[in-house]
Amino acid sequence: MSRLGPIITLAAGAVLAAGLGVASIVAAPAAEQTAATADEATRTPEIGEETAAAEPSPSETPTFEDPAPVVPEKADYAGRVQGNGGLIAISIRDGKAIGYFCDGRTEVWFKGNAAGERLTLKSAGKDTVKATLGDGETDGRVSVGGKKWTFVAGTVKKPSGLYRASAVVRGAKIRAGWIVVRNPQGGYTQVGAASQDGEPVDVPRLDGDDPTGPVSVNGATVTPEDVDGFIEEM
Amino acid sequence: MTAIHRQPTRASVSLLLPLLAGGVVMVALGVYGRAHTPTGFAVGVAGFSAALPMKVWLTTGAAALGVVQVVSALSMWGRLGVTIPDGVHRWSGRLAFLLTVPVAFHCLYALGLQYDVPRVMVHSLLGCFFYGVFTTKMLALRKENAPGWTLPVIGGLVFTALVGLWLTSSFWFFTAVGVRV
Repeated sequence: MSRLGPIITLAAGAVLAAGLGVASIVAAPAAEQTAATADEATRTPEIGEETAAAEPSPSETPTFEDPAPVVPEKADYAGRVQGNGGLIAISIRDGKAIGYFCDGRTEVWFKGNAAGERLTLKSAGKDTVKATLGDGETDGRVSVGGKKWTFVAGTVKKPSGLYRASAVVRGAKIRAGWIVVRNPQGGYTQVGAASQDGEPVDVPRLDGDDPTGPVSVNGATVTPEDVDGFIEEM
Repeated sequence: MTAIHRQPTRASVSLLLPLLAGGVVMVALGVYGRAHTPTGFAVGVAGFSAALPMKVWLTTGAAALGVVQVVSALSMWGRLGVTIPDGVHRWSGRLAFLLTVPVAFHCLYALGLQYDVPRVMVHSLLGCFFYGVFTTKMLALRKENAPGWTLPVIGGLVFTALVGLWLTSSFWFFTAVGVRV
């Protein structure tokens, strides 16, 4: 072996990392901007290159010529489901959209693509959310268990929004979801549901001022995550 | 240990540069992970449903090759009674290292160094440590007058760090999220 072998190995790693860096900067100029101005991005939807940001694939070439739909790179919506009393939350990150409906008894997670102003999110079963993104809000219909309701959900900022906890504690699979909405007159409205090995269990209330603080589900301590923390797992 | 007693000065001096370089790499990665604003997005390896599964499987691949590293190293030092060609150790190591690069790149570029949760903190710090000690190992390979324990100890640290990284990422993902591609 040449004495340079180990040096070449290190250099190859550095070159690969540099290549990934260049590719990431080229592929996601919009994502870069969003990170720098995350606060403004929530309120001012930018015309972005979602097609490029949506697929983290090196073979994907950004297509800047495409008519770009008005989809924010990052947005969080939450609001009440009319005639049902439950809450719905929809979050968008880099072309991916997730939704959560919960009325305290029934909970459904949805996911889909945010490629245009019209979103269609699907659950693991047959439930759907169809929504249209508007200026600072989204409205649409949620269909759960064969019933349909309409909703209007405004953009929300932390600590309002969608939270999820997922853990395996002593062999038991703990899952929980919450929607937290700050009331205009103070305090928080929240709804959530939790399960252990698929069976519903009592859901703890999140601390409205610190929703990602640890809570106890059926005696097990779990840490709720915000959308940025769990969206990649969905 | 006899090597130390015979040549105390030369032995420690020859390791000075590899250790220093490893320390620089370790600190540089940590500072970058903290100072750089995470983008939440990074280009990675195609063929997986999302970034996390990609990282989970690349890390698992690297950890498996890490086991090959330990076994082939034992053979090199005559502890197995079986001769494994030197190329196996070199190339499995190179491949393992290259597998970790897209993972670490996504960690540092898209997510950054974080302290919020114990698992994430341990993982962040171990990740920086891993590349530092790996750099030291690569550079120490070229120091023929280094003490005899150098490579087993540094190599052992690299492997330990890799196993720790796997436990705090892939193993966590398999148990908390599930096994998926």
